[in-house]
Amino acid sequence: MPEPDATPPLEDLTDEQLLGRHRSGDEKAFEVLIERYRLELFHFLARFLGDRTSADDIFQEAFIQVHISAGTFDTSRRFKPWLFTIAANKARDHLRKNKRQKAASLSASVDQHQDGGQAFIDLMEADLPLPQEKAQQKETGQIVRDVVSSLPEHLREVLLLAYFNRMAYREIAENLGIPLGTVKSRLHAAVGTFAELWKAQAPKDEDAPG
Amino acid sequence: MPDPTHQTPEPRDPANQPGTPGVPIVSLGEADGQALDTLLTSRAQGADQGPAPAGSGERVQKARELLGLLDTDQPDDPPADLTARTLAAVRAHEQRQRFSQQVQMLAEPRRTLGVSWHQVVTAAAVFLIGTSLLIPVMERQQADSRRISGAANLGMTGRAMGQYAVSNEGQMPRGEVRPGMSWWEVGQSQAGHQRGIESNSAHLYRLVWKGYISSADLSCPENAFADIARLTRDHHDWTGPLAVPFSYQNQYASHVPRLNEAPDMALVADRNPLFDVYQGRIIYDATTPMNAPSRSHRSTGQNVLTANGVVAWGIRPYVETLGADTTDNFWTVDGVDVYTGRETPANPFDSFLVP
Repeated sequence: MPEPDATPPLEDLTDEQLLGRHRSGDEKAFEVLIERYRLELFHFLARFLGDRTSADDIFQEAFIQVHISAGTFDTSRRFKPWLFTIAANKARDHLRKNKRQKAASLSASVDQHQDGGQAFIDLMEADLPLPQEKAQQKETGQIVRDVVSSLPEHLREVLLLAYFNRMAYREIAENLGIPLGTVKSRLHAAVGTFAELWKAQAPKDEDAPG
Repeated sequence: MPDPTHQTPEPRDPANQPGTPGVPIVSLGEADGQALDTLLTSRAQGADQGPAPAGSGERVQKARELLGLLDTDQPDDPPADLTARTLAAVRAHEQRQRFSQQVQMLAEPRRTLGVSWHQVVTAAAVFLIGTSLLIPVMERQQADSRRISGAANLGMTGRAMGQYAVSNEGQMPRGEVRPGMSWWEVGQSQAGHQRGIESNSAHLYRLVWKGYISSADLSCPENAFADIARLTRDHHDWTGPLAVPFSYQNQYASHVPRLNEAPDMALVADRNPLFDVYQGRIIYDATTPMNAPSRSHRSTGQNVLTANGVVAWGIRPYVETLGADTTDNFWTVDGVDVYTGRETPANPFDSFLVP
């Protein structure tokens, strides 16, 4: 029979409880917290940065920052959006320092809107090519990676947070410090631009009727 | 009702937006935007399917398929040791932080209890300068105070001597003496001693044991060996040479002096510097100039009580004596160069103040 006052295993604690334990000097709790986000945060960073080595570095920097700022974290709030905000800020700084110019070539294949007005895409009419077979998935994955990487950072960021990390719009707005409407407009622009870039880069189906 | 959170797309300004330069921004139309919002909101709530606005099912599905492309890019899993390396990085950061703080503490002005050493040194310097100026002033004031207090005690002694004289046929305090006796055996004499009193101070002390003055009043504040607490009317002399506060007119002449014979004659003064104390006994100090001031007040001078009851402060040991019509050094006997403890005043007007 378990002791009445037995503490639950660290793995059963919430993120916020783990951070509270870490603030009290429990390093094991911090280790559990890091491990809990190892896959999810790393994948977010790898997609955002487009580079595993940078993702590895920023992952560590993000948790160092969490450690430094742990004392100021309000444990009544959710830890995950806070963590991803920290990581996104670090990643953005990293990108600015490295001034990536990688996808300049992609832009050449996209229709230019020289008039400066807002361009729109209609998904129903865009005739977007979608991979039908598993064999295509690997090749598709690489193109998708390039396309995502070519998105402006502020769009890529909200797209990744909303889609892969399943953050609510309100959480994204709160943690990025932008209005909710801006989150929406950025997401619409991110998906629209992604669709346009994908359409330009996707492998053409040779058998498709012309 | 329109969604209050919905805003028109942001104005595009690639120059101000971080990201890939040259990529034109293409947004979704309103219907596709709503479909996207529906899809992502349901995902945020943990479901991949959510209620879609009427008529938008196809658009939601289209958006789902489009976003499903994102799933084709599955980054490789992170290294297994990422957690361990992250923890190590956190520890290393902590260590650097501590080291940095230590370096900063060493680099900064050192502090003690919230006060820098600079402040401590400054305060100490101000304190030392202040006290170096203040202490001499305070010491001078205290010395003046002791000198005045000693003068007041001598005044009381004068009044006690006057009362004694009234009660003793005009005589000064004087016990049994015989010519040629030693007079510097302080503390050795007893009242009514058969051989007489061999301590000049014992004659002065008669004022105490005869009840004319207390031992506390018959004292000099400068005398650290006054021993006042132990002295009572049962004593007949001070306990030793160092305890004697004043020098008194030598009572060992054959002539019995009377108080009214020479009003300007010095009777009692601070201690005679020519007679020092060595191994508990009085000795003559031949090295001290005959006109040296008393050492009682740090050799600055001495209070002197004359026979007329007046107390005066003087730097030199001289008083005008009416009878001699000249100045008289009251530390000495005219014509005597070396003292053995048996010398006596040269004449009835010669002041010779000894312990």
